[in-house]
Amino acid sequence: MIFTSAQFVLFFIAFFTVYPALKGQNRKHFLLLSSWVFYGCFSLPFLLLLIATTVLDYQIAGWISRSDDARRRRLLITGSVVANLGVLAFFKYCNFFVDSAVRLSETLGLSFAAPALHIVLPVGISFYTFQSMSYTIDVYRRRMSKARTFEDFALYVAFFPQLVAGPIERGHQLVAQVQRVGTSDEPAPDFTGFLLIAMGVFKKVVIADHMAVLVDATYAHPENTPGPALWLGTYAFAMQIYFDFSGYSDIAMGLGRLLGFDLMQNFRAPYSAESPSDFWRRWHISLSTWLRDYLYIPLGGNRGTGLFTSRNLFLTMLLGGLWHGAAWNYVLWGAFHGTLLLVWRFLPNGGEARPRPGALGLFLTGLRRVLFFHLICLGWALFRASSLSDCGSIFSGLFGLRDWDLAAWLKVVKASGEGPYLAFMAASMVALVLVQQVFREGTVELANRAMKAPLAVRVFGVCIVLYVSMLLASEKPPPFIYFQF
Amino acid sequence: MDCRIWPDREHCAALRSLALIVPLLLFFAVADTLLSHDRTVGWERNTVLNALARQATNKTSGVVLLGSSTSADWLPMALLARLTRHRATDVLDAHINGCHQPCTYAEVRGLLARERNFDLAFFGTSLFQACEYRHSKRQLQDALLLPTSDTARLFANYAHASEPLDYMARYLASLTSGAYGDTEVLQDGWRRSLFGAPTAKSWTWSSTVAPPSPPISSCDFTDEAIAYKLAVTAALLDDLGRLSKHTVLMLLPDATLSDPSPVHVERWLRFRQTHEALVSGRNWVTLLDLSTDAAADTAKDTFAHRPEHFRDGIHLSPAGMKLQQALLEKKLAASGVVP
Repeated sequence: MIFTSAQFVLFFIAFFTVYPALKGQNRKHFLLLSSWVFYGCFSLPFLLLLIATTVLDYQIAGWISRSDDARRRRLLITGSVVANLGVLAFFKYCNFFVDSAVRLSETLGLSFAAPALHIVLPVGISFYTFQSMSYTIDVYRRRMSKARTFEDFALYVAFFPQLVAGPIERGHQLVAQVQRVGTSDEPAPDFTGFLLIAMGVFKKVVIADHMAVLVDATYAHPENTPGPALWLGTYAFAMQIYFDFSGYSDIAMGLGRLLGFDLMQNFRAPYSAESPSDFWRRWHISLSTWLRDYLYIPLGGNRGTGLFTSRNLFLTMLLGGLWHGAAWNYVLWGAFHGTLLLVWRFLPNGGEARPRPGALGLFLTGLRRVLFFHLICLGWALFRASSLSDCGSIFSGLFGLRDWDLAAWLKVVKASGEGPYLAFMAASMVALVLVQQVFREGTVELANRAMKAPLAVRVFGVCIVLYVSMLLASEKPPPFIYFQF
Repeated sequence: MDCRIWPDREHCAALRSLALIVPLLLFFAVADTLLSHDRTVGWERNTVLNALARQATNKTSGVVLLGSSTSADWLPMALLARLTRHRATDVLDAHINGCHQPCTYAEVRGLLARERNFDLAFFGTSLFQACEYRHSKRQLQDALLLPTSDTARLFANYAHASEPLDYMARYLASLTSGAYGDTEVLQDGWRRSLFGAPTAKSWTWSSTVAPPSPPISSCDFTDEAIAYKLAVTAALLDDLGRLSKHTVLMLLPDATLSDPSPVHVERWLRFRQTHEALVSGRNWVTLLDLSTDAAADTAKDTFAHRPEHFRDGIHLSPAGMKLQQALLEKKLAASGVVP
C-alpha cells in the first residue's frame, strides 16, 4: 500500500474520518491499530516480526531503565543491539553473504554448495530497526526516560506515515509526541500537511516516475548504451532518486502534520551542496545524523589523530552504503562517498570555500556546485548499477572508453523521433537543479512560504497539484526506491 | 461574508468553508467531465461508450457476442448470423476491446438491468485472460458498465482478487473521476501532440541492440493467480443464463499452443479443465473448445496454433481467422446448439 496508490487514499480517508472524532486513549489505540493494519497490508507475517521486535526492545529498555548496575545495563544493551542487528542481518544480508561466499569459493577453485535460501526482505526493516535501536541506546545513555506504556513505544516504532521509509526518528523527539496523542497538549492539525503531501505526490508521481523511464531505458543493459545516453540516464537517476525519496519524505511529514506530529526534515536541496559534508547535511538527514550519533561518534569520531578520524569517517560511510542494500555496488557507493569526505578533509580549509562577494563569488559558487553535482552523479551511477560488471560497463561508457561519439548519437536521437522528448526531459532536469539553488532549505521552506497565500489560493493549489498528479501518474508506477531498503 | 455581523458565527464559518469548497468541486467536476468526455481522447472510455451506443441502437433479442477483441475480431457478424440462422440485424456486437471476464460480467449486469434478452449468447475467452491483468481501465469498465445497485456484488467479486482493497479504491476513484482510468491513454495522446509519435526506431537513442520482442501474454495458472477470474467467470455464466436462452463459451487459441514445453502444455490442460468444470452443472452453457481440433487432419492445419496464425501472439492473422471461422462452423454444427 504505497502512499501514491488509490488503496492508500482509501485507507487514509477511512482513517482520517474516524481519527479526529476519537478522544483520549481511544485515539491512540486507533492510531496504533491503523499503523499495524497499514503494515499488515504489505505482509501479515512481517507484521508479527515487527510486533515481536517491538516487544523485545520495549522489554529490554524497561530493564535497562530500572537497573543501576552498569554491567547489567551494558549486557542488556549489547543483547538488544545484537538481537536487532541479527534480525536485520538475517533478512537483509544472509543471501548476500552466502552468494559472496559461493563466488569467493569459485574464485579459489573450491566447490561449495550453498543452501537455497528464499529470504524475503520485510519492507522497511532497515528503518524501523534503526529507529527502535536509537530508542534503546538513548535509554541506555540516559538521554531519555523509557516510554510510559508499551502502546507509546509500539506507536513510536510503527507510526504509519514514517514506518516503511523513514524519516528515522529519535526516541526523545517522537515518543514525546506520541505521549501527547489524545491529551489536551496534543497539537492541532497543521495545514502545511496538505501542502507537503501535494508536493510530495507531485515529486514522486510526476517527476520521479517519469525520470524512471529514461533510467530504465539506459541502465537495463548499460553495455549496449551509448556514452551520451548513459550520462542522460545518470542525470535522470539523480533526479529520480531525489524526487522519489524526498517525495516520500514530504508525504510522510505532511501526513504527520495532519495528525499533529512534527517529523524530521529529511532533505534540504541536496543538489545545491558544495562539498561532501554539505551534501550529507542535506541528503537523507535522518540517516546521516543517525550514523553520526550511533556509529561515527561511538567509533571515536574526530577525537583522535587525523588517521583515526579518517578511518572512522570511511568506515561509517562504508557501513552506510551497506545499510542501503546487500550488494557490492552499495558498498562501493559508500566507499566512494567515504573517499570524497577524506579528499575534502585534506583540502585547504577542509574544502569549505570562503565566501567572495560579487559576480566572481557567484560564478565560483556555481562552479563548485556544478562540479560537486557531477561527483554525486558518479556516485549514483554506482548506486543504480545492477552488478559490479555493470559498474564497469557504465563507467567505461561515461568516460568515453566506448561509444562516445556525441555527433553520431545526436543523429541517432533525431532519427529515433525522440529528440523533442529527450530535450524536454533534459531541460526539466536543468530547471529542477536550478530550483534547488534558490530554495536551499527544501520543500518545507516552500510550504512555509505558500502558507502566506490566502486560504482559497492554498486549497485551490493543493487540489490542482493533486489532480494534475493523478492525470500524469504512470499506470504501473515503480514503487518508492527506498522501500527496498 | 463577514462573520462579525452574522447572527450565528458557527454557521457562518461553515458557510464560508462551503463557499470555498463548492466552487472548487464544481471546477474540478467540469474539468474532469471535459477531459473524460472528449471523444478525441480517452480511448479506454470511448471503446466502452461505443459498445453502449451499439447496444442502444440495436434492440435485437437474437444473438449477442460478448468478450474482448480476441473473441470478435475474427468473427464477422454476418458469419455469426449465418451460423446461428439469424438475420444480420439480429446479431448484437457487444464486444469491447480489452474487456475480460469482469468487464463482460459488468456489461451483462447492465444488459439485465435494461431487461434485454437473447436467444443465444457467445462469449470467448483466451488463456491469458484467466490471470489478473491489473490496470485502472478494468475498474473504469466496471464503473461505466455496472449498475451502481450491483456494487455489493462487485466488491464480493473483488474479494477474490489478489488485492481487493486496491480494486475497490480504483473503482471508487473511477466513479469519482472520469479521467482516472484513462490516464495512460491521455498521456500518450498528450505526448504525441507535444513531442510527435514515436517511430519504430524509438529505442535506438538508448541502445545499440534492438530490445527483444515482448513475450506472448499468458497465465501461469497458479491457484492464487486465477482465483479472481474463476469466481467472476462463474458469476458471469450464471448471469448469462438469465440473459439468454443458451450460451456458447468459446475457448480461444493463442500462439503459445505451438510451444511444446511442459509448462505451456500444462497451462492449456488446466485452461480446458477449469472451463469444463465451470460448464458442468450449467446446462445452459455449451463449451466450444476452439483451441484444438480433435478430428484434425495431421497433414494440414485445421485450427490456429502456429505463430503465423497470429499477428501478435493472441490476435489472429488473416490466415488464422479463416481457420478459426471454419472450425467454429464445424464445432457449432456438431454441438447441436443451433437446430
